[in-house]
Amino acid sequence: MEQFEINRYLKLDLFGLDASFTNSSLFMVIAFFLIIGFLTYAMSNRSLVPGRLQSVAELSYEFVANMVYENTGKEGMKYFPFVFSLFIFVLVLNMLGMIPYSFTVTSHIVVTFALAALVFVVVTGIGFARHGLGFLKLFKPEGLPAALVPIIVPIELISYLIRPISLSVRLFANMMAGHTLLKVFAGFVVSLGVAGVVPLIATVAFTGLEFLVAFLQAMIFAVLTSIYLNDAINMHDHH
Amino acid sequence: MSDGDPEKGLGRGVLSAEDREAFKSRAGEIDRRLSEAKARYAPKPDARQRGQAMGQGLKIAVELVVGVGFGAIVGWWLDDVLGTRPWLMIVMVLLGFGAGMLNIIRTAQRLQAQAEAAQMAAPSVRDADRDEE
Repeated sequence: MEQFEINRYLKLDLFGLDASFTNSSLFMVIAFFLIIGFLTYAMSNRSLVPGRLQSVAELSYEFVANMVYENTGKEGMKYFPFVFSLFIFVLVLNMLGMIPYSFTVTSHIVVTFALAALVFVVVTGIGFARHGLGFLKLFKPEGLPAALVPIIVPIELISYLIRPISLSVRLFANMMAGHTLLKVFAGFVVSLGVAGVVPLIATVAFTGLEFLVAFLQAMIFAVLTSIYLNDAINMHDHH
Repeated sequence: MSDGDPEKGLGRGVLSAEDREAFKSRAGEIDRRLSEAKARYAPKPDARQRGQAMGQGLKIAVELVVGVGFGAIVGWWLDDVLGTRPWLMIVMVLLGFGAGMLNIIRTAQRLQAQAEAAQMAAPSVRDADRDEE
């Protein structure tokens, strides 16, 4: 479908890798400047009693801060900037995708998988940095009978390895499916003539739902990141 | 009440027919009042909560599919490399299914813990079992 197509605006070849500046890159850059611009502008007054924009900025900060604190405890707050950046980036990308004629960056699995792989690498790195080889105990629950080791350890290992896949598939599938659904329903509006009112209503309703999904998926991405962080910091225990 | 009457020949703890009827009607009355009170105190599901529930559902569905899919692909690849078709694929699909299940159970446990914490913190709903404390 046209809305998912990648257009190269600026062809660029980096040692045989296609590093062209595409519409996807453009929207990521737009999101980046929107976030930086909004947060800087909203906090420029730094008033004790926040104004409207400052409230929004503070609300988003507190929302993510609470999420990280609830899931990882005090230790995890060190990694708050990481989770906040991911959350706000995914959220703005999802929301930008809701504007007609815009491009939904998160509807491509390359992008979401890159983000999920980043989370995976960072979390695994933190785990090994904090616990050394003891981090491998994550795959062998305490008190596990020796007979069950050949079954449980591979299962635990796979359940750890599929995290980046489920994290990326979830975000990409939700965004792509939602936009496709909207397009399909909107396509019926014209072809059905007067009866097109029905799909029109459905389209309006789904648009509302899509906004909710856009927010929810950003939130789930951030929640799961902090849950994975908790595993790396506290090894499965809930602080 | 006739259960204290030894002439009737009924032992302690045995109810006569009319006592049983009375007991049943009282139990029914309690049941009715309980469900009324539950309906009154139950929080109304708003759109946001429903949306979150939907998010949780999708989250869990994806987990299951990805586990099996990952197992199948890795098993297929290992079979190709080691020439053991189809055994490793079968094993890996089963293990992947187990891994997906494990992730789902962990998610469900976390949700359960959150729900219990939220219920304990809710001031409007009193838990009858905890009154003695």
